[in-house]
Amino acid sequence: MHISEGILSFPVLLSGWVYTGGGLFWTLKKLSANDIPKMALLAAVFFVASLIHVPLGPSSVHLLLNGLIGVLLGSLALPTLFISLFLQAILFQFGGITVLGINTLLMSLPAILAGVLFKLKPSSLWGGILSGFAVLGSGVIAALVLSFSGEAFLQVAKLILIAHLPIAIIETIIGYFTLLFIFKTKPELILNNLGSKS
Amino acid sequence: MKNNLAIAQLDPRTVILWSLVYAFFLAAQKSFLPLLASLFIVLFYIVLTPFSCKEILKKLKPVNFFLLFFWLIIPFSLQGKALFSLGKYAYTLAGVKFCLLITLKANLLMLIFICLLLSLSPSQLASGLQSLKISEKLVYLFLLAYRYLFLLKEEKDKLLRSLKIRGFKPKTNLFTYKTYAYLLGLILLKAYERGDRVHKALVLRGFQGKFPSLYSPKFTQKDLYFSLFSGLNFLLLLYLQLT
Repeated sequence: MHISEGILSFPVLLSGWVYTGGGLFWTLKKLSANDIPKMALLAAVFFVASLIHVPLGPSSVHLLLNGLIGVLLGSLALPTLFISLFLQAILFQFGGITVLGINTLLMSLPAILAGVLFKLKPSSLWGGILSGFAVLGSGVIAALVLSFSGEAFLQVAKLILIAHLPIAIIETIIGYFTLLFIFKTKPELILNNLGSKS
Repeated sequence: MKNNLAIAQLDPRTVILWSLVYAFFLAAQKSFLPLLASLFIVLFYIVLTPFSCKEILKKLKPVNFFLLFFWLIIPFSLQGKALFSLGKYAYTLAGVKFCLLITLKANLLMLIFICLLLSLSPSQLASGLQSLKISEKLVYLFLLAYRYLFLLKEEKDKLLRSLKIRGFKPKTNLFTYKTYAYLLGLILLKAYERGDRVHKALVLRGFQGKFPSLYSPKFTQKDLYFSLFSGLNFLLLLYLQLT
């Protein structure tokens, strides 16, 4: 999920970078150098996972997976998503320099929120539901930043929001089964994060 | 490289800084004149990139695909003189003008991004960011993620292939979603374990949280010329905007 260059207004773009810059500064401070390889690999996974086309009726959709990232990584979802989006810009020209801040914001804010809520009740069903809501959250933020950028975008904003509904449903299902799988095979991947250590 | 002023031969810091200056300047524009004027400098940058015109056009595809969506909707939702109507919806001139503006802006921004930042190799980009005092941890994250990206993509393709020979056909049903979820879980596990091994291998070689790079950027005469040219043009654009 990304917004292209050249569309949003300057104040919106700047506030995106203020959020992202501040967030990166804050989250990277608590990231230990020893966790960097693992985090980098996870960022690469989410990049690769977004290449998978999931069929939906006659068409197919890409997964956002920001909820799942939030559930697994907590606030470290922010640098992970930032790197993942930066790589998408470099390799596929999805988004660009000025809009990277906003794109990080719209993906990571719901992710971090999902991470916080998941800690209240760590189960795969709850995690799946949160994954779905994180997608909706991204859709809402995308619609909001578009409508802040000009009245002309109101119609587009509504459509973007509607387009997120089916993806949210699919992500709920996929989030649930992915977490079920991880709970069965390597629960420490989820539970480590719950101690808010890594 | 086509010529010795090519962007890839410049100090990455110069390239990164000018790309930021131009990107944010362009993103702030609301009228046609400064955008059209900056086409000139973008054309100059295109000459200095290692990409052919065909490659550049291909790289501009995603942004224009995204913009197509706006062309289909915005002219119908703005008020103004109608060019044509579909039922009660009018395709307005004001909307077309607006779309033209964002299309021009978006393409210019992408051209700056492609010509400047993408002309650098990822390692040049990383060392440039590093010497600009961007968080080292962030740069390492980027470098390692980039390095393992292709490996993980192969992993994904391998798993999809093994699904295929078992006769798996993706459809809109629970089974497909479940299969994809397990596939994702498996990639996650493998990546996590690989990350662990990578870390251990690094520790074995004396990793202390730093990746020294053999390449150190230097500001040379070429950078001076490039900066003078970009700077003069930028002043011209600023002047144009202020008057």
